Amino acid sequence: MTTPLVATTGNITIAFAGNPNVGKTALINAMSGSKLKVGNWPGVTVEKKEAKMQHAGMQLKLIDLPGTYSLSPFTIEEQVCRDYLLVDKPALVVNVIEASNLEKSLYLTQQLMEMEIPMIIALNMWDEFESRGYRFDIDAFSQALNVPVTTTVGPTGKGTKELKELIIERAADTSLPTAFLYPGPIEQEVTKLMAEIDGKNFAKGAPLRWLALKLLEHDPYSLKKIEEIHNLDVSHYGTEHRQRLSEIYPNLDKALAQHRQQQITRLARQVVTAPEQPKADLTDLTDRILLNEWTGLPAFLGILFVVFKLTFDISTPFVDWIDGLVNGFLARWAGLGLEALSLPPLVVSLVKDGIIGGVGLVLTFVPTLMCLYLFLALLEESGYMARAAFIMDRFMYRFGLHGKAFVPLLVGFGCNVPGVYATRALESDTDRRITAAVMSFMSCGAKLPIYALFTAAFFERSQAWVIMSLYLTGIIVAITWAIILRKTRFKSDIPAFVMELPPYRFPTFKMLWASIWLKTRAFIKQAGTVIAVSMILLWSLVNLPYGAAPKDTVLGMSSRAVAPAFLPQGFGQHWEAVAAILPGFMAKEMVVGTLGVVMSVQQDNEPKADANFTEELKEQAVGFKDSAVTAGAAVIGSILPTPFQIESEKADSPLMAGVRKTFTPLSAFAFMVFNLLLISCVSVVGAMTQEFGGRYLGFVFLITTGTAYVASTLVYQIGRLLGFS
Amino acid sequence: MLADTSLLNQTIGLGEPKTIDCFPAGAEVEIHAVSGDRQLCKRMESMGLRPGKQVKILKNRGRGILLKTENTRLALRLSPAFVLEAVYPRP
Ligand SMILES: Nc1nc2c(ncn2[C@@H]2O[C@H](COP(=O)(O)OP(=O)(O)OP(=O)(O)O)[C@@H](O)[C@H]2O)c(=O)[nH]1
Ligand SMILES: [Mg+2]
Repeated sequence: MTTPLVATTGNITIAFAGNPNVGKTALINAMSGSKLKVGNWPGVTVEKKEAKMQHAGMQLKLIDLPGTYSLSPFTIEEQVCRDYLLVDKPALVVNVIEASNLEKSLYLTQQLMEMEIPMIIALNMWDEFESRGYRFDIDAFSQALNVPVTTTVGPTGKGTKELKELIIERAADTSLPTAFLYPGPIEQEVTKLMAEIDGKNFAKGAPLRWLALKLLEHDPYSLKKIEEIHNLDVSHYGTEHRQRLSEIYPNLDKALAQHRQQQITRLARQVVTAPEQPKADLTDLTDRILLNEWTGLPAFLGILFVVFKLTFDISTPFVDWIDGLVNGFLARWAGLGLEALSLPPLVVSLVKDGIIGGVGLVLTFVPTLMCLYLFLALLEESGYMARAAFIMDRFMYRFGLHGKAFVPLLVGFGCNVPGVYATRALESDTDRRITAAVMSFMSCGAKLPIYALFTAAFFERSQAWVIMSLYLTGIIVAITWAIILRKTRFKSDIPAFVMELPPYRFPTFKMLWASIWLKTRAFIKQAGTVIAVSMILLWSLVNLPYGAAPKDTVLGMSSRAVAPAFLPQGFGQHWEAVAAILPGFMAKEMVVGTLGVVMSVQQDNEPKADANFTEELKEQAVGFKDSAVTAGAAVIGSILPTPFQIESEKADSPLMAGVRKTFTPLSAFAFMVFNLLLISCVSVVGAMTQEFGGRYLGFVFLITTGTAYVASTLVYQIGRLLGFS
Repeated sequence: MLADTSLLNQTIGLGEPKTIDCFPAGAEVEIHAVSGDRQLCKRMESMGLRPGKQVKILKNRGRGILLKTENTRLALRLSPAFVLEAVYPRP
């Protein structure tokens, strides 16, 4: 034997290809110690990733490709895989196959074998396969394809040693897999076509047989790709061959598919033996309850209720703690420090309220987001999320929404920000955009204080009903817009779809943490900058010219200027009402706060007279511990349902008196509707920009603001016609 | 299991290809044809819904179907752009 080619270079590039969710990434992690993201649903890896390792004195470069069902790609991720194999030509392909889904996997294997790249097959999830009681004739399988085969278990790394050895061996002996043969007449035409295109420019470097087959099939993706690369229309190749074949095979597509499937079935029957007594499958048993006609929906609602409630119950104490830490503690001490430096009060206020306040606001979202991400990750990793989508699809379908849109929208009721991020679970961009657009109509938790104040002031006896009617208004508007958007801007039928429901699996702590941390970090980094900058901007509006009376600040003056625009809603006569809207944009909680400020209501949160830094620092630490205890108690308390807690204002606070003077019941209702339908806050703006770009944000901003304006006008005007005041 | 299927076969009429939503939940059938939008069909084929493949119908809600083939569960939403025909396999 000659010296193996690779031994001289000592460097091998190995691509891992296979169906989605078969454990390619888990396998690479186990082999190389890398920490690439693993998850129990199809489509975790969306870009090509790399891991390097040393073995037997050689450097192995493992390429993690997005999962794909075929090399005639349907999605962008799948294209990544095909293009890599065609263009970058790795020395070796490891085809990862889920042993329990042999027939499905072999469809891709057939195509990989046509790529003329040396190949190894890893039968992954071998543990699951064996526990199902099946048997596999590995030798026969290996011989039939002329490909070395080994068994692996990704998470434990079992079998990876053998896989490494095989890789080294195979890199030295570069024999190719046997080609899958088609029936005689088709083979004849393929051979002819191969001769025809051999030596042509566009055929250089590509596997000839594969290319001939694609031309014969008239595969649109491949044709397009060639046109892109070589600027050459090759669609006429294969036309006459197809014509000749049409006598024998009126439908060539079908004939090819049938033939491939026949070969696959034959091979699978030859190598896999089913157990005499099939074992009860845990996933099937669980699905019998969770997807059952009668128990499925209640189980779904129950799970959501618990997730939702736990998220907010666990995070609220921490949110309060962070709020106190930043705004109470840090801001105060920074303020005192800056004053000690005798800086002008303007600068002190900017740093204290603008910058520290802005950063603090971003941080207050973190506990909620992390809790939510934890639960979403649990649902996703366990395999339940796909089922929830299946359950909801029948309802959501009518509104032009995808079944998977339900969860993000529900999350939106707590806070729109994680809701917008949660739309990532939807595959199609159109579905994501529609879902995110209607997200703002889901009344978020921060809007509740507004309702609490106004209902307490005007609708004392029917407070709960009024609040519920507001939530309902939001939902109806959201549904209406979803239908409109689907019919206009995103003109498309909701497509036929197919979704794989992964088997139920226990999520590992590592998987959960990776998922939470990645998302949280992205939030802090990107949304954080947008929010902080907007906070400073809004601070200037509320505080400049510095020291002026509320009605003479930029905010006061501009509200007085635009106030007449709100005459149709019934609250335009009072600039104070209008002034509260804009700061509400920082955080909806601020609507109430601003009303307090502009109505010059005395506030009683003056700092303590004598301050002691170390004492207060200790208090903060104790506060964190207390938060943890409260959160822990909340977990237990959550299981017992408690209704919405409305923090109602004290019956006759000066603020309520002020509100009563400024609003009538009807204009108060219009004001609530206006705030309900408005985009929630800058944090949502940050999230939307990050996810969909500024243009789409602009569009959403327009429709939400427009809807809010029109709807609140309608409420006021129709209300008046009906005789309310 | 097998006895069940063949009994069903006799009552429903063996060997008649029908669209997949005509089969009751629990039926074990063989895919007969995949037709409609070409791209979509190729997609479905690559995901394992190919003529000749054995599938079990887990849920049938008309438009929404849940299938199991080998160890894969597929949730489908049917539309005129995608027609899946199946047939009871010959015993
Ligand atoms: N029981 C078992 N589970 C496995 C095995 N390999 C991977 N898994 C689990 O299967 C799921 C999918 O693993 P990934 O490595 O993300 O799969 P992938 O092929 O990279 O998926 P995509 O990136 O979506 O194409 C995860 O929940 C893994 O923990 C295995 O050998 N046995
Ligand atoms: Mg992966």
